[in-house]
Amino acid sequence: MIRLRIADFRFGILSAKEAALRQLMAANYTPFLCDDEADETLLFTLDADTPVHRPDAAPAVTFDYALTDSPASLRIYGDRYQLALTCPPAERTFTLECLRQADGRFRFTSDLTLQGVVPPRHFIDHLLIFALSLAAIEEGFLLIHSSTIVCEGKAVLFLGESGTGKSTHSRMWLENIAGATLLNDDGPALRVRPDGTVTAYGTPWSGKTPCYKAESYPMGAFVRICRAPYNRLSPRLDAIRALGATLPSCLPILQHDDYLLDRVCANLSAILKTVPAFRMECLPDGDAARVCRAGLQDILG
Amino acid sequence: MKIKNGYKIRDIAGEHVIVSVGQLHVNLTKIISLNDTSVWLWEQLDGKPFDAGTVADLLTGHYEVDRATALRDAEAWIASLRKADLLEA
Repeated sequence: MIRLRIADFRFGILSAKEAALRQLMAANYTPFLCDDEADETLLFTLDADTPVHRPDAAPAVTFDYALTDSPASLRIYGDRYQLALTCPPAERTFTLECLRQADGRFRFTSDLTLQGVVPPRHFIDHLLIFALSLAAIEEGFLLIHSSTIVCEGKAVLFLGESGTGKSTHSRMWLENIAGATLLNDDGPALRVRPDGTVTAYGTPWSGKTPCYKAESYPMGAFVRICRAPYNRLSPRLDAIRALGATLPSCLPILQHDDYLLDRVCANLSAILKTVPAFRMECLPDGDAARVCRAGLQDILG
Repeated sequence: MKIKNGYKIRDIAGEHVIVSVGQLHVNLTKIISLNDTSVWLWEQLDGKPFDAGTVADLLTGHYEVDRATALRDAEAWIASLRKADLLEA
C-alpha cells in the first residue's frame, strides 16, 4: 500500500500495480509519503484496481467540465459520486467512485490501473484531490485554489480567477519581501480545528510550479488579486465580501450537491470567523508586493 | 412568478446568503445576501406562485406598513430577485 499524509490526514492507495503508481507519483508525492507509519490509522483507503459500473438510473446531478484539455464529468446518484476523466488521444476513461455509507464515511474505488495505459499524472492528482476533499470534509478540510506564500511564519493565500496574476504576485513577494517563501502555487489545503484555529498546508498539487512542501503554517490572510493600473489593498472585507472573495476559489466539483456545498460553506464560515480577507488591486510589479505587505502589517507584524 | 428550484438559504459567516453556482464549465459562483425581511418573505413564498400583490399582502400582514409602501417595496424586492436570476416566469 502507498501511504500518504496530506494536511495531517493519512490515507492509502491499494493496487497490484503499486510500483508503477509509485513511479508515476514520485515527482510530486515523495515529500508526502508516510510508509514508515504503518501503525497509524488511515482516514480512507482507495482501491485502484476495481471496475466502476455506471448505475442504470439517471444521475440526480451531472456536471461536465474540462480538466485542462480533458473532458471530465461528475455524476451524483444519491450517495454515490462518480468522477470520470477521459484522456483524449486514446479515449480512455478513468473513474473514481465515492460511496457514502450509513456511518457517513466514504468508500473509494477506482479503475485507475485497469485501462491498459498509464493514467496521466494530473488525473491521479485530480482524483486524489476529490477523494481527500470528500473524506475530510467533515474534519474542516478545504482545498483552496491559490498561490500561497509564507511571511513571518504565517501563510498568505492569493486568490483569483486563472490568469489574474496570483503566481506573478507571489513572485513579486519572493523577489521584493525579505523572508517570504513559496508554500504552494495552486492548491494548498486549509484545515479548521474545532477550537477555531486555521492551518495552511503545502500539498502535492502546485500547478505548473514544482513546489511540493509537506509543511504547515498558521493562516494569516486571504488576498483576492484583481488587475488594476495602480496598487491598492482594501481594508478588511466584511463577511459578505469575504465570502464572495473566497467561495469561488473552493473546488467547483464540491458545489453541485447540497450535502457537499453545506459542508464547504460550514468550513469556510468557520475559517472566515478568524481569518481576514482583503482585495488587492494591483500591477504586476515589485511595488505591488510592498504595498500589500505594508497593508498586512497588523497580521504579519 | 416563482422562486427557482434548487436554491437554499445558508447561514455563512453570520449572514443569510443564497449561493448560486454556475452550471457551465466556468465557475460562476454568485453570493446573494438576504436581510431578515427577505429571508422571511423567501420562506413564505418558496415553492409557491406569487406576484407583487401577494408580497404586499404578506408585508402589510406582518409589518406596520401601508398598502402603497408595501406594494412599492414588493416590486423592489421582486426586481432584486429577478436581477439575481432567482425567479422563473
